[in-house]
Amino acid sequence: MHKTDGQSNTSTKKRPPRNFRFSSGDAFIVGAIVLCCAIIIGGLFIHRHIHKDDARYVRITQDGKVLLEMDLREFSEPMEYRIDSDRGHMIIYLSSEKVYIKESSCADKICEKEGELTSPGDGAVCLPNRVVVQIVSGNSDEGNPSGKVDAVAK
Amino acid sequence: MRSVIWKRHNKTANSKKQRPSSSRPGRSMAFFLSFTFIFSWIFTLSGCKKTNEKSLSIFACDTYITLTCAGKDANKAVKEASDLLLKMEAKFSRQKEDSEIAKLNSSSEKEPVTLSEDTYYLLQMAKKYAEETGGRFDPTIAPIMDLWGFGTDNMHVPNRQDIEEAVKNVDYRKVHLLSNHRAYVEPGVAVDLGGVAKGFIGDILMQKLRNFNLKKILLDLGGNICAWTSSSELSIGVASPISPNSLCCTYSLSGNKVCTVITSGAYERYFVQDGVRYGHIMDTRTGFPSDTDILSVTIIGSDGARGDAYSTALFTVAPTDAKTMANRMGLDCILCMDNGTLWVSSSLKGKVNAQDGWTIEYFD
Amino acid sequence: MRKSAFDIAKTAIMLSLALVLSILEAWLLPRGILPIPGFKLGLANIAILVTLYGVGKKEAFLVAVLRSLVILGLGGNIVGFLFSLLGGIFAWGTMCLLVERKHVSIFGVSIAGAASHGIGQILAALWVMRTVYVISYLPYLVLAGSLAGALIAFLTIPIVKALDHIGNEMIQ
Repeated sequence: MHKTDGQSNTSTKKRPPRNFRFSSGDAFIVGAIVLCCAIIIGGLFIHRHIHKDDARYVRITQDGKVLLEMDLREFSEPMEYRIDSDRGHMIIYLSSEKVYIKESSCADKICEKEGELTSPGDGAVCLPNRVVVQIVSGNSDEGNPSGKVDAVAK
Repeated sequence: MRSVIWKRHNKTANSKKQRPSSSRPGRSMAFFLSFTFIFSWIFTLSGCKKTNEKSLSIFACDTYITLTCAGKDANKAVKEASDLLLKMEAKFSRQKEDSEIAKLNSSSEKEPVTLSEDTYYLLQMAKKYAEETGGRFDPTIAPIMDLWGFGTDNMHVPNRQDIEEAVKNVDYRKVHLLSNHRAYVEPGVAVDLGGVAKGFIGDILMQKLRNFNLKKILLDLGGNICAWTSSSELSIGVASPISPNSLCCTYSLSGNKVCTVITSGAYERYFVQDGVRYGHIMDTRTGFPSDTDILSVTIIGSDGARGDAYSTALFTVAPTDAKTMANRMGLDCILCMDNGTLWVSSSLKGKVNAQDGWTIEYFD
Repeated sequence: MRKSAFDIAKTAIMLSLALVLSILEAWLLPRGILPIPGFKLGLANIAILVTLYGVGKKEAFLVAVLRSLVILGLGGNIVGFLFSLLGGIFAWGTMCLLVERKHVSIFGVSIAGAASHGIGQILAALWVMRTVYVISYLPYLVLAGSLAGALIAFLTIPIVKALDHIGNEMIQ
């Protein structure tokens, strides 16, 4: 019973070819994939290069560790980012236009007084929570305030 | 079962029946692959950086500090500067129980404390600045700050009698410096070097960093800027005391000169009670927050500790007195007034650019 | 035509193999250990490839979909299910198109499958996260997936061969 079934099945059903060696078609597939990826990477690279000046990233760090780094354009709808630590809690409002510290458990609320952060170089620091929220531009990898000035005295 | 499968598998694996009809990738394929490799290389190479710039931010000295260096030794310089910074922080903080300042505050005439060279020197300088400003800057303001609750989560207007009592002990002459780096304070007096320590630390760090092979040094000690550049110009902004995250003016700094830009103002640290705004900079004679038409004082110079002390002192005096005081001391300063005027020392002519909404008036 | 019991047995074994491999992979390479978010070796693809070669397309589809469903039932989250389902269906479609081609070996099938899996995942991510910026992950996901695909093909070959010979044995 088993045998006949198996026989009829294997003989009538078209089995895929048992091709276990890397062949020309495979090379074509690999080439096509690599090329497509290269084009996409290249396209993204060029896109970023052209738009790097208007790219704004929000970077949130606590005690020197980066908690979040995102292109502001990615926030198609506003969200609130919550930080909870043994120092206290914070709620940071994030949207494609602006970022601000909505709530902080700290005493002096200097960070909340910083108001809305919109352009590269803007930042708010919360000393008690050791949290830094910065807007950095796309063309500087480091966190230094780019744009018009090299540093701000306050 | 398993062994059986494997045996059979091996047996037939030898009789390779199906061979791929074509196992050689075409020449076009080779072209394809090499093209994509070259493509990706170009992108990797074009991403290279030209100058070596290193930036490090840390929380220290009760503030947020960013050290930026550019040049050959940048990485090493930043590392060593941050180590030095953390070492100094421990000495000057009043809040740390085992710091030298904490020990000084619990000393008495009978039991003076021996201080390290740095601390003793800074204390000396603080006393000197206090004397020069006629006590407008005073390193013994700490008890008043505590009374108002600055630095805690309980900021409030204290009892008038308490202030009158505490203000008697605000006197830099009650800090006594003895020989051999020994010092003591009179009962009820507490020293806080917060007003000069940041400036002083900036000076020390800058001194250290100048020994490295660098092109640019930029230190941001919680808003106190110390900058040096070998050639190109740097632009330092002065924060607007009215709208946060905007500037009232910018100062361009020419090459190869150490420059500190230090601002004092009560626009960040303040609290509001019963509709009245109380800032954190105290009038040392009344024990109440200073309330004049000056919104912020920025001092530009080569000595950070001095700038730090004087900016505080100028903030607490009447605007016209501030001008005379600045001239007498030979300070380059920018006084930011509440009517949108920037009073700028005439020695800074051509270097200060007002931002929208602000007008410059030079004085000498 | 009646389904061969042997085929049913093979499909069932491969489904359980797919599940075991999924769990094994989650255990060996926990989330976040690999540098590209969403990237996996895709060991379960071994089972799907074997089914495709040894049984048939429909059964391979069944294994791919059931695997995702059972993983969901075993305590997976709905987002992960969506990702693996869409990725799995894309991979299956591509592999079906290529499997009977003469010039394409199991390597090509597996690599193209893995690449399509990545595309499927990104599409799911586009839908879930509603931001076009996930596309920037696509090339990395696809390239890494292709490498993994080659490895999977390599691991699959002996199993397909072994199954063929069990089949041949029974015919004789």
